[in-house]
Amino acid sequence: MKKLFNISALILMLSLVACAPSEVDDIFGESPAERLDNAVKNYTELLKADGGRWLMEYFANGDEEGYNFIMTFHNDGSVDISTQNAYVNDGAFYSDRSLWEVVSDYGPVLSFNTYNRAFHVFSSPQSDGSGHEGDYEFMILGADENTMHLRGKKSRDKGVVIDMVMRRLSSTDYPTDEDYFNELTTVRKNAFSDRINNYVLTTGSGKRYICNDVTTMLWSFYPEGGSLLDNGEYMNAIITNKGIRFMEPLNFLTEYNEEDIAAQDFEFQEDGSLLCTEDGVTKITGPALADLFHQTQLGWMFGTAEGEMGGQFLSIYNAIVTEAKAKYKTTFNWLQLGYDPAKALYRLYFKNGKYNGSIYMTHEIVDGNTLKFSFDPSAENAFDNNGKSHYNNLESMRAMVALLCSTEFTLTASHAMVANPMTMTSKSNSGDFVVLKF
Amino acid sequence: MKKYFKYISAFALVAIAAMSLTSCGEKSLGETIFPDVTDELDPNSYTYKFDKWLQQNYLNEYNLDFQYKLQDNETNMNYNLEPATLTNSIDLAVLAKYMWFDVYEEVSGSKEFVKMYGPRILMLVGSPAINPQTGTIIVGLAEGGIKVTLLHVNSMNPLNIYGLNSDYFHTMHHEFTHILHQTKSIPREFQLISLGRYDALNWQDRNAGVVHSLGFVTPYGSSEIREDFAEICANYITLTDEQWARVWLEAGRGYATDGDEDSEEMSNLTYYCFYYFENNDASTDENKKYLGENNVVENEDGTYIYKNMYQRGVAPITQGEDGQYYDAKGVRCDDSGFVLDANGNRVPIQVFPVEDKDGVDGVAVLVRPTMLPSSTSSVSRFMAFSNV
Repeated sequence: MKKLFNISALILMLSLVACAPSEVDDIFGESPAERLDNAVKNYTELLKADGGRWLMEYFANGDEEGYNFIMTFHNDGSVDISTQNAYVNDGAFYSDRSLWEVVSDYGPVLSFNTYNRAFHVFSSPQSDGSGHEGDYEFMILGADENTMHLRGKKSRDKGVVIDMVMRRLSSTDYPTDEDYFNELTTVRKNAFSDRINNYVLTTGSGKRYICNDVTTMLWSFYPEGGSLLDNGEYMNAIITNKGIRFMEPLNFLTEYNEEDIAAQDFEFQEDGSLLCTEDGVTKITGPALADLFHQTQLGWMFGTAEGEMGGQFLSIYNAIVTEAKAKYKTTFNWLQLGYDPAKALYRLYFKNGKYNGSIYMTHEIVDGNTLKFSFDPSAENAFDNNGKSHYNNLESMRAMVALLCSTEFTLTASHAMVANPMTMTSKSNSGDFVVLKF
Repeated sequence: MKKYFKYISAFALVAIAAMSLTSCGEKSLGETIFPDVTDELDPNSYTYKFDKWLQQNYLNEYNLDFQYKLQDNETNMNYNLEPATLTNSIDLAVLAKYMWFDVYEEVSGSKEFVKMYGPRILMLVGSPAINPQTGTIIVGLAEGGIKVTLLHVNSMNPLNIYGLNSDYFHTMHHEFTHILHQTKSIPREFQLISLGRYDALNWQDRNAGVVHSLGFVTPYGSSEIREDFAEICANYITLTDEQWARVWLEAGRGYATDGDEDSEEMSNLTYYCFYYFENNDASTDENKKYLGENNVVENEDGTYIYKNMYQRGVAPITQGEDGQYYDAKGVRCDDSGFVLDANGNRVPIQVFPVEDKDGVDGVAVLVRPTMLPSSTSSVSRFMAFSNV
């Protein structure tokens, strides 16, 4: 009986609750539709404001580099889009006009809804139906006066999150779009070298990761001491005039370091290195100079221009030139320290008008920036034929080998990413130096 | 008493429950949450003139929304698609009006036909929709009896009348037919004509001549009934007399291939309508050689010969005592070894048509006399071609 009474009371209470006014105060003061409509209007005005010129850092997918587009949004609904990449106009600068609109869709969406030859190639199908799978509609995630955060809409529908950034571009710094892309070409050329392997990412705690494939912007990473096969991570990136931005944060850094590291945006520093803007400490540089010297794909030429050699390096080099002329009746061309792939040995390599030859020296990496050379003329592989003849016949050549083996050398470079040129200076006498270039 | 109280309580419980379900009063809907949206065109818009033209010629005339600004959510997300260029959108809007809507209006005598059966939305897409698995290409779509999508717009060249006809006007009439049968069902009798001969999965691998001989106008028409219907209408309107004559000619032929029809590369097979026997020796099928129509000449008596090719005698060719040349079988030849007839002329190689073994009278199916009302002009055109 009591149970029946309780149930009756409960139903009575529920009925009272159900009949209570269901209207609640609108905490926004506007309906959702009105708020969306206002957002569309506000973003439309923001895009057009101050000349309406923006730089879009665009990713079509996770398997290729990002591309820069400069977009000028006009009041009449048209947009000028310019770019310079391999897929448009054979890689030359190109600009085209089409239409744009901020529409109400998944929230406010920026849509480039008529074909633009500079832009839509990344959405187009190839003859077999495949393609770059790139977006031309972007959910607007948020914005301030000079930055807009976007997410590819179609990609998102396919389960792939591609977030992109648009930044307002100054007409003072870049009067024309072409100015920006010209600068970008220069930055790109100087920022990295495709001849250098094993760039280094260093976290705040000092953990280091080896980075490769950086010039293609399809970066690979593995912890120093590990291997790409066992611990490899990959992330595509875009290069801008300010630095690089990875398509996604490098979350594997957090995983391996067991500390929270947010790293996605990196800015170029004065020395050419890249510093993470999110944490201010994670850094990307070229390999240690001694490691770079040791890389087998590089041959380090002795600099012969004024000021590129000093002390004994200069005097001995000049003596080699003179002696070679006297002995072989030919002009001495150059000296190089590097790797002979045919014999798999490091060498002092020379060339004159008639001959080239190798004197196979070894070197030891003392520390990150210090080298020590050694040479044993009685060793089986000490020379090739021309190397032996020059070593035996030219006193100055023997002197150069002796100089190199006489002491340790310190390597220095002004560019932290592309150490070309770098200077090799005697630890015994700082006046003995030579500039090396690959 | 306890028992009565139990009944009273139960009654109260039911009453309260009923009240709880009915006591919530009906609420006013209130004002719309959506802001006012104007459909007035902005005279400062980059596309104002075009939008005004569309409004006057499509929206006001046919209540049709001409969508040339692509939105992803109006498309199949499984395809890589690009928007149409503004230039081609303008060209196509004008051409569609002139070559499609105006034509239907002129033929039917008023706008009412298109208003009643035409699409309400016409959407443009710049690229075709290409299926990476099958390689098939979609150049047009009709949906729900109201929406037609024209794809491949960016490849349109307004100066190429043949390309316009085959790639765009054909698509317009094809998709209109879909809209039509999405409103008015395809006659049952039509659905029975080719039942059992459709191939929805492999139509793209079928040879055009082979499907003509099965009574279809195109391989795509052989995929399913509604495409068959739409292809007949579209081709009827857009094919030239010569093209129709070709369809009819091929519909009456037999086809054979020297490739493997069971292979997965059916689309690479070559089909032939003629063959001859090597060395004029029909004693074994190994001597049977197929050849293409371009190499065949039809004689006045209806027989066929190999164009510019003549029978060769059986080696060795030797010169007889009479000074004439003879092959190993004693047949007279010229000094080059070609067989000569009684008049001293080289003997042509006889060619035979491949027997039509598909069990279908392609021409009769294409005519489909039972389906065509005798009062329409289409009958006379179909029948005229049936006599080719």
